[in-house]
Amino acid sequence: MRTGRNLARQALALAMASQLAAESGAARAAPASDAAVARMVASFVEFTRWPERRGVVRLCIAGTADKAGALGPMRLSDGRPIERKVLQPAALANGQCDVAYFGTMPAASLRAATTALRGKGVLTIAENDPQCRSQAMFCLVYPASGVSFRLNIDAVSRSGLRVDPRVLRIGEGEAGQ
Amino acid sequence: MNPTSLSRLLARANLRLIRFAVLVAAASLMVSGLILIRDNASRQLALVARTVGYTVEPGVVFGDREAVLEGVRSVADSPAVDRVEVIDPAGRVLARWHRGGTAVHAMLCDPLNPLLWPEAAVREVKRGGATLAVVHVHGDIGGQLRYLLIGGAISLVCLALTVIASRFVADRLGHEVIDPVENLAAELARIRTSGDLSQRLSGSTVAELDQAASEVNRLLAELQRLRERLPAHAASRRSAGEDEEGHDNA
Repeated sequence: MRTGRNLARQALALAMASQLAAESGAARAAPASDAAVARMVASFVEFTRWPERRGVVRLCIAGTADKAGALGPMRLSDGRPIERKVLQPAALANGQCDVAYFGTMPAASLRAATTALRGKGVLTIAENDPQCRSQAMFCLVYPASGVSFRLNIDAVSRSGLRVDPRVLRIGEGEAGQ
Repeated sequence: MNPTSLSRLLARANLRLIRFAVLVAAASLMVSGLILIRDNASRQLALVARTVGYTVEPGVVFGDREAVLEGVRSVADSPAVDRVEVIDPAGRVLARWHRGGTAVHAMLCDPLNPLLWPEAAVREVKRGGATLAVVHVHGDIGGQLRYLLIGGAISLVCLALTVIASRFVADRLGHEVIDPVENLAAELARIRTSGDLSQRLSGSTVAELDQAASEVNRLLAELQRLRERLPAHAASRRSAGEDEEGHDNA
């Protein structure tokens, strides 16, 4: 009788351990937090040089941004603030933005927006384009470890901005053209 | 006590002098070389720390530990570097890289590294005035040990070569100096045993010995003159003695 109880206890412990392991695995594979995305975006800005240095970096958000919750007022390491604006994609190219953050939006619109910003000195970041087909300069990807990015060298070279070449080491290889 | 031959004395003195000179030269070269190598290695460590700091900066900013480690590995893989650590201001290790090596290298170098490199080369990774991380580069003594081993082997070879050379020099010295001295001694012995004071010593190629032979020849000449005068003097003394006896008898 006692042996039966012990067996039951051990089975319960085993089940609980399995549940805990499954939960911790799920936690590891959880989507990247808004804070991690915000840190990534701030890092892109840190390693990008604009032809004219502004006292404030204007970050414009277009489309449905699911991970831009922490992209609020931020400060760069040199003290410059990042200001957030929400704009329609069509309004991005009118000189109000230094950084364009694209949320989820139709592929054609996204491509049209990045094409419109080409050569205008705007840093483009796509939140939901893991293959980086939109011609955004940086495309966020979400591996199990958190958040990473792909760099589109063609888009960078046509952007009119200078991105520190050391950033090339960080991304997950060059994105497809 | 048997007197030591001049040739052996000269050879021994020669060998000691050469051995001392070679050892002093080898020791001074090794010490100065080690100081120079350590100074260079110290500069190299500082340069590695600076380069690592520059390379890992984006990885630190992006919070990408793999990129930090990759950056460290790409720069620090040098024989002068033992290990590198990148630590954030909170004390968390962002990347730790150890060069590794053979078991012999680990056995020899691991205990000695902290003695020769008690302090790591340190470089702060800064951005906008704020310190993002600190790079610590620890040196490896392997380069210095290799220099010591190679330098020691070369010193031993030099010592062996100079011992052989000193033997050669001693033989030559014997031929040029000792032989004339021995010849002089042999000629003197021949004159003494023959009792012929008309014989003279031959000259020598060594100036000092030649002068000594000339003085001995003059001495022999005086002795010869004395000996030649000695019979006449003895006869005159003898006749003078006989005359005195005749007077006494008269």
